[in-house]
Amino acid sequence: MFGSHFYHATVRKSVAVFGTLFNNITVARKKGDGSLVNQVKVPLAYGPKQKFLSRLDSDTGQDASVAMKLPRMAFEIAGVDFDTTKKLQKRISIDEPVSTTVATEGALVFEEEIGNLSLVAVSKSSIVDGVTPAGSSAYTDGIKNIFMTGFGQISRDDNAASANLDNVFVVSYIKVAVGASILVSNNGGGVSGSVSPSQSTYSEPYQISIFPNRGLDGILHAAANPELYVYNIGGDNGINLKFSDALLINQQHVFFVPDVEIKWQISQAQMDIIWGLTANTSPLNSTQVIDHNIYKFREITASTVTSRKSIKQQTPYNINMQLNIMAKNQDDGLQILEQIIPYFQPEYTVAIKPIDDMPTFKQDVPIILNSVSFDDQYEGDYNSRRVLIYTLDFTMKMSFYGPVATPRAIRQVLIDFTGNTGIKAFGALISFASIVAIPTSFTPGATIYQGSDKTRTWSGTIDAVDSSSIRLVENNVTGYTPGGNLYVNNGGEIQELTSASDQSNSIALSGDLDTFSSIDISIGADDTESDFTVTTTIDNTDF
Amino acid sequence: MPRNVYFSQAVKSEQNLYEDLIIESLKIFGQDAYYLPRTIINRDEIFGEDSSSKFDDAYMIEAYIENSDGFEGEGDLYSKFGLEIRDEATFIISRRQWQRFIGINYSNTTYPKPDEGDLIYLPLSNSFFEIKFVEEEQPFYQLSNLPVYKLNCALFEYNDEDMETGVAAIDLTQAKNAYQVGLDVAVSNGNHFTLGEIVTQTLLSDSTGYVTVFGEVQTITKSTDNTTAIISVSNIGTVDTTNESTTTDSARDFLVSSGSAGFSANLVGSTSTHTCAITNVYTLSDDDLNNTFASDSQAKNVQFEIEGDNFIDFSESNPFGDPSETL
Repeated sequence: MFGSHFYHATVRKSVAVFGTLFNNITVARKKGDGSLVNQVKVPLAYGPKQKFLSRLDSDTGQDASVAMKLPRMAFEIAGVDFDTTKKLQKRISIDEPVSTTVATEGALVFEEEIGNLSLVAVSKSSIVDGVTPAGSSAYTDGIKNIFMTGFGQISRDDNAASANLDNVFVVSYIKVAVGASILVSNNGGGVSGSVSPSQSTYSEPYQISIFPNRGLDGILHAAANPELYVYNIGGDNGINLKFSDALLINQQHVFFVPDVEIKWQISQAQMDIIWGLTANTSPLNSTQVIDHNIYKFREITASTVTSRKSIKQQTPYNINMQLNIMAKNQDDGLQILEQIIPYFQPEYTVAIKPIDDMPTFKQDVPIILNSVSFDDQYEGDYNSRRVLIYTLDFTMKMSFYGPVATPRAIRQVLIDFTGNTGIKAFGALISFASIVAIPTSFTPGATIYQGSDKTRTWSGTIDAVDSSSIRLVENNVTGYTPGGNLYVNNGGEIQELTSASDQSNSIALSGDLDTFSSIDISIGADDTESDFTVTTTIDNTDF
Repeated sequence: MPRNVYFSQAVKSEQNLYEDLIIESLKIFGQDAYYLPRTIINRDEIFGEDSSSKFDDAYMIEAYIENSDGFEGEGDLYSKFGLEIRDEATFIISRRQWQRFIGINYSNTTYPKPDEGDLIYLPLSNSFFEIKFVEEEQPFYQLSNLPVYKLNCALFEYNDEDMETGVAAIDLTQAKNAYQVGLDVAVSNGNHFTLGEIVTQTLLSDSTGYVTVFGEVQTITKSTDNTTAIISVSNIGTVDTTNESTTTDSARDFLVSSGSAGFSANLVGSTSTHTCAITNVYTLSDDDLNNTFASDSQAKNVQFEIEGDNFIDFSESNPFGDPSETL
């Protein structure tokens, strides 16, 4: 009856979450003077496992020189029971729209001035690779900046309001001499790379593209038509660009940090000033400091909801976990215990994403510490082992979820009100005194109006036509001039039903509302009734 | 009524002969074993335990294993804590031989004898046995003397005790079983640390005192170009003289030498005197299965971290603290 396969690995996730809580506990041993002589992280494992794997994981035979290593922790599921305190309404479903976000690169909206760009051009001869050139004071604000050696460097002085922005700058549109190499290194992470252009002339600027965690994309592209270039830098480690030889900046640059959708833009004129260059000339060799304002731009993005995911069944369950601590000394065990207990008051809540297919859906999982007990078998003869085990009983409040459905989005709903006779009788009726010749454009769906085409005194939509009347979709007579000419504009061709040809016309509100017996609703072919809710509002001004 | 004075069981020459025969039998039928006296570092008089014991001597002695059919005890058991080997054995050693080779080294005891808590290392099976009970009165005064100790032992439960005996097979056990932290170090001129030496990093040194972290190098994996190495360090300790009002120093970790806030202290070897910069300290967040909990394949701490990262939501921080950061 249930049929469709689904598996959210709820219990497996519970085990992993529980294990993550306790996988970084330290036990320290001290000397008499209080200094520490040993500190160990306590190993943790989920207790139940296949026995042969436990043998494979262990030293056995000649390799097993000790009985076991202590202290250590293990946990297991002690039981699963329905959570009667957390019953939810059965009709509540979990929905997540699936949207496609389209970034419209280049569409930048000015937001505010947020800082100042200070550029220090220094003598080429003073450059030592990796050393901040003399006369520059960049890289001092603790915020990750581009650091350019070679001919200058860029630093940023944020004002206080923007000091929390942790962004990356890079100058990415450069011109490089043949044989020169460009080294791009990522401060503390990401990928480094080095490229050397093969072009033999300064005549065209070359584009160097840098992507998150990729470093260089491997080649330098000739850019025949320099425009606005957007470079997606990403990461939070900052990037150093080092230019080993002649280079030339010759374009507008946008520095783009995708997470916060902020771009940094420096105009062509600014860059020219910064580098003191015009096209195809030598780089600046004198010391020069130029300040520029930096503006924050926000990128305009658009998104389209294409479908949605839905889970209609969920059931709250308590998963009881038992954590066991085995120690050789009471002090070890109590150190572990004391690093756990304070966090549970008596619960500690972890937020998880329980459904892999619905990454934005989060669930808070309270983990409740129910009880602590310990077993210390210290009595008996001297040959018996002393066993010291602390036991902590927890309850995890999880939920089990049903299958993820992906109903289509409803794009169009057509509502038809149908009378008993099959004649649509909802709209107002224009009646003619005698049989008239209805122009060809007067067809159902066409807009009929009075007055001029540009200044319409009245309009309506034709629902049905016969030789002596026109039924409208709307039940609206306001503005109608009895006996006036009627027009339909069919793609620029205006046809007229004159008062002379129709002799006389009048309009009357439909009074046949009582005959409505059913409402037909047409929806997408893949949708079912349970996928949507229809709300009908009838405005009394229609009557 | 007193016993017959014409029959004496305490003839010294007979006692000596009897003891000689026992020693000879032990030498013929016994096994070579190492006796490791326990050094108590910090006895806790409240809980009655010493969690910081070390074993820094090993004396060879012949020992007869009473259980000829194999070790006693419950054998290999699987519990929630993993595999536990509950082997037990009874060793018989000569009282005179023990005094001659081992007891003579005891300087602070009037009547030295094997103590409960000491270890027997049996090279035959590569096993450490902890003496649970020393039976001194079996056989019971056959010639009015007690020529042997009977040591009731159980396989040792290792608790990160330091072993510095100088016997390679014994010290290797520590390298294999002790908790270790993996460090990437930068090596200059091929000057690697040496195995077993203590390496120290000074985290702080100013007018208020100093804070150092130290550990013992257990393994070294050298890169092919000899410029880097991965070392694993066990028995990590801390000395903090900046706040002497506290009774216990806080646990500290090694830090990356070129880390934040201009910290650049390197790792210094005590015997090699070599200096290496730490370029990475392996932690759980490295998701590295080879250099974190490398000495305990039953520990799944890293696997939990990796699995949990897939679906635990870290975007909302808990104002009361995140256990993955603070525990």
